[in-house]
Amino acid sequence: MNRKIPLGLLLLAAAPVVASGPRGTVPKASANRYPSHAEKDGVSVGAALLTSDEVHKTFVSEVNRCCLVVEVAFYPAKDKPQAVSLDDFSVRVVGAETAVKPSSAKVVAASIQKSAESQRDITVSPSVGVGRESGTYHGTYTEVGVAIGVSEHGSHSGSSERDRDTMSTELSEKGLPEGTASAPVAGYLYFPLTKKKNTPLQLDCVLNGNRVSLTLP
Amino acid sequence: MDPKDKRDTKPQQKIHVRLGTVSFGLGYSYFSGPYYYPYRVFGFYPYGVAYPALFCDPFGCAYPSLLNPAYSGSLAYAEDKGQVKLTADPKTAEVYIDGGYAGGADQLKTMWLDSGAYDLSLSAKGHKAFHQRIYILSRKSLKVLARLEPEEAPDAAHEKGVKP
Repeated sequence: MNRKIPLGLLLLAAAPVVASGPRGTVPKASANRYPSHAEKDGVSVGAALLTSDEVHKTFVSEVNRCCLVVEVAFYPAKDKPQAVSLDDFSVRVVGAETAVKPSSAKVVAASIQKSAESQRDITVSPSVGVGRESGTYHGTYTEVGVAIGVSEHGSHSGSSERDRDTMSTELSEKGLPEGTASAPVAGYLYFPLTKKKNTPLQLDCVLNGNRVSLTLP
Repeated sequence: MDPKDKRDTKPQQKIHVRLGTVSFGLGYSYFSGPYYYPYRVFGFYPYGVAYPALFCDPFGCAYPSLLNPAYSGSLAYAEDKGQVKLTADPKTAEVYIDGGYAGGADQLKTMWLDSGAYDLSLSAKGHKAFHQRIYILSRKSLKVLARLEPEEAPDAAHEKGVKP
């Protein structure tokens, strides 16, 4: 029997698994293209804190409801693969002692869904009508009305279970890929924080066992 | 229990007030005669039992080719679906969703998809293919601008490669 056929089938079967995994974003040409960057033992890291507008444009999921988004890019040294893990990152307000670890895509999606579930919309629709009737009963009439509609809990976008799965997929696929990187990788990290104006944040990450701090403007 | 903890466990309620449709109507009706029956008994009502088999609208079904199977999902409106507003250049581009042919871009300016992640691609003769991963949430609208760049003619590419 030809051995090429089972191998081909195996590759075909494995292709969707590889394709559906996290992909992250396309890393920029070098770490210094990011607003914050550092280098340690030949490994470079670049980071950028996304503004609320940028988050809105980048994601269909309403990540602004719960989290700050930081784009991180890793540039491993040549021939020295670098392990990338979410546990190696944390964000803190500059000067503060407590730090926050990034949340996984599933946790963020659940948080957004919970927020969407509790949201209710009230719609106010005024209407004006003028009419004229003729025949046995005739005359003119006018009518003025206001309709008020209150949406039900769970009717908002992002509140269904299916939406939660979709958001989880989006956040996972755009998130920083974890694993061993032998080439530059980039992606987003989601921190369950709200940023106050004029309070700079600090991103801490561990590179080859050494702690590196980047200030996020 | 600490009062602070109690406050934290209370679910957040957010209420948004927005202005709905403002309508202004002006009408005229005329009635004459002893009987008035406004509903026609006979007539053409296309959304019957045989509708899917006999008719094809741009949202409900597409015309597949032998090489490209049709997209199996429905693109018609439903309350729990999300909207995709597609603008394509050129308008004659063919639209594929998850590899299945969905229709022509000029017929699919607006389509409705179930919540999920999809691979959207467009192709047109003489143009490079356009690919985009899209995420659809229920009751949410997504605008997609697909500009297919023209392919370089083989002669032009050859000319570029030749140095004087």
